[in-house]
Amino acid sequence: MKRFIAFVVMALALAAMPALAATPGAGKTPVKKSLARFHDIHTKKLAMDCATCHQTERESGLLQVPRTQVVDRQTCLSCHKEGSKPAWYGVVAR
Amino acid sequence: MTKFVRLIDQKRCMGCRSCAAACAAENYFTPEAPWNSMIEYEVGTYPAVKRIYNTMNCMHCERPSCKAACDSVGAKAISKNQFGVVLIDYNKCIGCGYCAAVCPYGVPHLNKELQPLYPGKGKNGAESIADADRHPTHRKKAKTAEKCTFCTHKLEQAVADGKTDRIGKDQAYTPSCDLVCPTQARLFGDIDDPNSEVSKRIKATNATQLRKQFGTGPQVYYVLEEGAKS
Repeated sequence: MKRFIAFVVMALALAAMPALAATPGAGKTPVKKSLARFHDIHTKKLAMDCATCHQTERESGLLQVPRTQVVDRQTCLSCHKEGSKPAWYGVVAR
Repeated sequence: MTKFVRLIDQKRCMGCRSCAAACAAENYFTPEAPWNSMIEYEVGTYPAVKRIYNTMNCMHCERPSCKAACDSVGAKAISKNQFGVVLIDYNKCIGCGYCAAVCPYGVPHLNKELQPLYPGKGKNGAESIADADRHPTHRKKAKTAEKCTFCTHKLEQAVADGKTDRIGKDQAYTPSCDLVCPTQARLFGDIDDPNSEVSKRIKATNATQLRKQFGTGPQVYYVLEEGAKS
């Protein structure tokens, strides 16, 4: 009986594959998914508080183009510098 | 080699925003994604206070963090060409926003939707020019990242006309923001040419890049006003 159920499940999964591949936008990362992933990694996996990155007020003279959400990239630099994974920032100038 | 850089002199800048206006007119401005912005702040203590004007556009970094992030998600929409210009291919951009999230200067902006300049009044001015008649960097799309291109359409024209030596000198081959500055606070040219005006002025003024701690090697240099942040 178990073998029969396993066979049916596999057959259904195989039958569904072409339909999934033909879904419009398949192979292209959906925008919402990407942005959600970005926040999931930091808030769920790394258990970081939102306020760690998102400031409520813009620091005077913050050398970044103004946005609604204020995130000083200096916070990102502490983890994402050269040698880390993923590294966004190059060799730190001395 | 040829490597184009920009010099911005804060001591000359009076915050008029002509550069931002010229950029908007030249590059088919979309409200959600400005390519040239002005940051203002004060330094000093009353009565010895001073206002700092710091225009921000893409720094066209040697080691662009936006490209690193874009490559990591597999989109590979960001490239750096032989002149050191960092460009976004709108057709490859997947709108994930990672480039905007990592840039130390907050430069790339995501166009969530293409808003008309005058809502409810139809297409105006440059908005009415068909995509086919525009340079690829001006074919704006929703859910796509945008940023300053060093007016790459003008640089490409200089190459096509065999006049790369006139870049930074002639109106047709120089970024519009650098052309219109009434106080000559902006200069554009080849830093690899020791005789170029931009090379000489960077050397003479001891100009520096902003936020060097990120190690991205920006190609925009600033003459800093006393007390200004770097």
